[in-house]
Amino acid sequence: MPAELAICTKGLTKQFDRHIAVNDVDLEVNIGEVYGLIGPNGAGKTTLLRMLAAAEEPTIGEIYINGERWRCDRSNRTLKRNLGYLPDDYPLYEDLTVWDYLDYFARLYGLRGKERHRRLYEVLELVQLINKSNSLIATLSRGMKQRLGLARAIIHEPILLLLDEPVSGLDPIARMQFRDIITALREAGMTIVISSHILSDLAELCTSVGIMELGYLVESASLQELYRRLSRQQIVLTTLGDVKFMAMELKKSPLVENWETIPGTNSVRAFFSGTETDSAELLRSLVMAGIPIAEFHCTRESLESIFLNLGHQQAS
Amino acid sequence: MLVNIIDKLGDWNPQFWREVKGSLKSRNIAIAAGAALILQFLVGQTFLSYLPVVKIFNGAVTPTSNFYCTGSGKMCLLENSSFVINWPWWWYHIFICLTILVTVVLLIGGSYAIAKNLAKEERRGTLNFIRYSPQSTTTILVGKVLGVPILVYIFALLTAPLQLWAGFAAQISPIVIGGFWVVLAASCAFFYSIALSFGLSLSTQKANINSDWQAGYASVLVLLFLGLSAIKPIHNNIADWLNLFSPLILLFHTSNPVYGADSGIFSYWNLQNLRWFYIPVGASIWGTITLVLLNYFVWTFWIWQVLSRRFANPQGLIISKQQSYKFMAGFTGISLGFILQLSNNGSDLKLLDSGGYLGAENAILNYGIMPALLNFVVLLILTICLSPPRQVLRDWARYRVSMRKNFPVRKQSPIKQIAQDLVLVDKSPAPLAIAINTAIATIPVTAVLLFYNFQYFDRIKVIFSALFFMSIVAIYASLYQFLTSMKLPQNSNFAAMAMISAIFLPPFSLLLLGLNMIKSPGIWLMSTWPWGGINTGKVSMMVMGLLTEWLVLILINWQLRNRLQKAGESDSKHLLATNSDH
Repeated sequence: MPAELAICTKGLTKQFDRHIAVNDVDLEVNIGEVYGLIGPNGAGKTTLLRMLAAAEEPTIGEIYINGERWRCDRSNRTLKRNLGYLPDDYPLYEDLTVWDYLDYFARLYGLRGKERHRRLYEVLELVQLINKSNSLIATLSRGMKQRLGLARAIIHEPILLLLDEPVSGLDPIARMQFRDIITALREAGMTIVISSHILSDLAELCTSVGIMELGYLVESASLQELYRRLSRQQIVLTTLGDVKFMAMELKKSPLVENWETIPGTNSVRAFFSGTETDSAELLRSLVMAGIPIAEFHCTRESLESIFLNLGHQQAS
Repeated sequence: MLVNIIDKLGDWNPQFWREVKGSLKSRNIAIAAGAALILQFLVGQTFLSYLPVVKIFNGAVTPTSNFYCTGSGKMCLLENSSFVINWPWWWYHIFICLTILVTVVLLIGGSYAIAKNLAKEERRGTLNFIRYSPQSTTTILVGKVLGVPILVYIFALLTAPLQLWAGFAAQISPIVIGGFWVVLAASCAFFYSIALSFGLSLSTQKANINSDWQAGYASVLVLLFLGLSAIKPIHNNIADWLNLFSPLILLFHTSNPVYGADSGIFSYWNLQNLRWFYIPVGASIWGTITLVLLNYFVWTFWIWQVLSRRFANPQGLIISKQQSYKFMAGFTGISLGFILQLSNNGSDLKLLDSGGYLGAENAILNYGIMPALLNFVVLLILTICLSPPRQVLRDWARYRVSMRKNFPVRKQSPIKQIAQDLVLVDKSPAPLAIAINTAIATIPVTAVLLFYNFQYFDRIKVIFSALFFMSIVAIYASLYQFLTSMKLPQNSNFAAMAMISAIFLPPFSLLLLGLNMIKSPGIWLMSTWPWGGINTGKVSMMVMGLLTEWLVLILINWQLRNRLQKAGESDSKHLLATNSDH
């Protein structure tokens, strides 16, 4: 097992009756990566994460965490110490204060004395709950509870963090706050596997992405590789003149594969296969042709459209 | 200082810290302490009111009799213008009263609190987060046992001084008082372990049961068990095992001549007759303490084996096949101790006959039927515990070959592989493992009955009874496994109900039809209660009955095999078969 792999699964399968929730998944996640799991509801993301967290026993297959075999029926203390898991539901002890809750879990993970206090302050600051440390958990908002759940998952400084739909149901500000925390954890060198429906968030956070459908891992690659292979470069052009003339000029360029007018505007979205130099050349040719260009903006297809273009249409 | 101690304890056991942090609020402590003090006050007042009061009528003391007076016929003797009281006898009653109260509050209150706490945590899902932590199951559950009933412990600790004072004032041996507290601690460990397993297992199966009700069931069970084991006298049969579960058993050794003629209030227990492998353990306080502690230790050990598995993997089986064999061997070993307690020459029987209950005519009941009934119940419980649910069976049938990669063994024939799976692998069907357990339970007891006290037993009938017993248990185990492999909602409940119906319906139906055991032994021999026909049936009838049972056993297992074979077929094969039909 290569030592640089944080997670490696071989033929991982989970079957419920005749339904195969996770089917023969070979997943590889490198150390230090932020790996996003995407897929429709029922694709097997949660089951896969639960098996990685040893919360669910695989029907068949093997899981290796940092090169070590991970089994549901064995209490592997070292692996448990290295793993943090935030499931999609995160029941909390409503009768405890934020501080006592985290203190309890810090003790469960073997943190002692001053080290525990230091870590508690550190984590509370990271999740922006320092001013709520003496509040009862029952009084917290949903976003705060979500952040407290994350604080619990990282209190012992795991080297691998599994997050299942961590931003679902949060308002935009809470989502942004959560994203910032994940960015900070990524910078701290933690390997993170995160499943989410909100692909724009994943596009910002992840270094690699896996796409699941009907229990299969149908795609697993670095984000760069995915963009290189599946994302077409787009150029958004806006003219002050007639959009038809601009379109005629675009047709002349062999690197423009296709184009579409953006309705209600004087803009065109062109799918371009050239390099940066080629796009500069295209701009120059348009200006030389006398097209009054107001905007020339290179962009890429979003993760969401890549996902949709792949045709993964499994019903939720 | 208290905060520092709790903090240090928290480093030793985080779960204990969490429970104490949640429960030790000043209001709760005040309630527990108040309850202990009020209880002691009420007990003291009640017993004070029982003492005789000097009444003077026309200048003379009225003659009075009282339970605590020392005169003949309980007449109260006057000395220095007050009655002479048998104070040790009076303190003795306070001691007994407080001992029973402390035992009941500790065992019932503690069991309720633990079962409720665990059921609540399991239902909410908070227990999963503890499972993800690197703490061992033992640390977590010990923390629960020590921390959850902390208020009950405070109550007991505050009641203990008066109980100890009463004991010493009643001139009870310090060995008995100390021994009682040691035994009580062991019994708390045992009953709290049961409460833990109750909280864990029921909450994972019945999500709709309220945790208060669940804890209520657990405490009622503990109360019934405790009550039954506390009041039952010794009968020198396997039922004596029940007495060893009561910490109050030690009260038998509290009698003291200074109390007078009534001193032996627990003498009806006949504890002096309690024997185990011929050893008269009940006759001495040390023997009783040792056997009671040994009994608690063995059971608590096995319950913790179950707890460890259940806590670590709530979806898994609560006991492995290999563990079940060891358990059954240990269980049979202990139960033999209660069967082997009378010598062959019958001299002990004469002695015990004077007790009125046990005699030679009851030997079959005491040493044949009762151990068989106990084994039957234990084997049925093992059947439920060892039979994998439908999904696990399907997985085993489908991926059996791949699963074996995890247990590398040398090359074997397919039949040997299947046999090894059925005997050792937890995910495989249970009937063969139950059959092995039945043999472990039955063969030693049968051997003892054949060679011991043989004058009371017909050897042929003993052998046939044992064979019928093993066949019937194997049929029930196969039936249960077959029913759990079916696609039914809550099929384990359905299977359990069906199994219970199969046990009781046929004999009841035969009785209702007027076919009694003496007149129609043949029919009884072919029913689920074949022992009914053994006493009057002929050997040929017994052979026929046995063959019928075996035929049923083969048929059920054949059906089970077919079902599993179908479940084990790959989905693609299923798909291809469907396509070729079109």
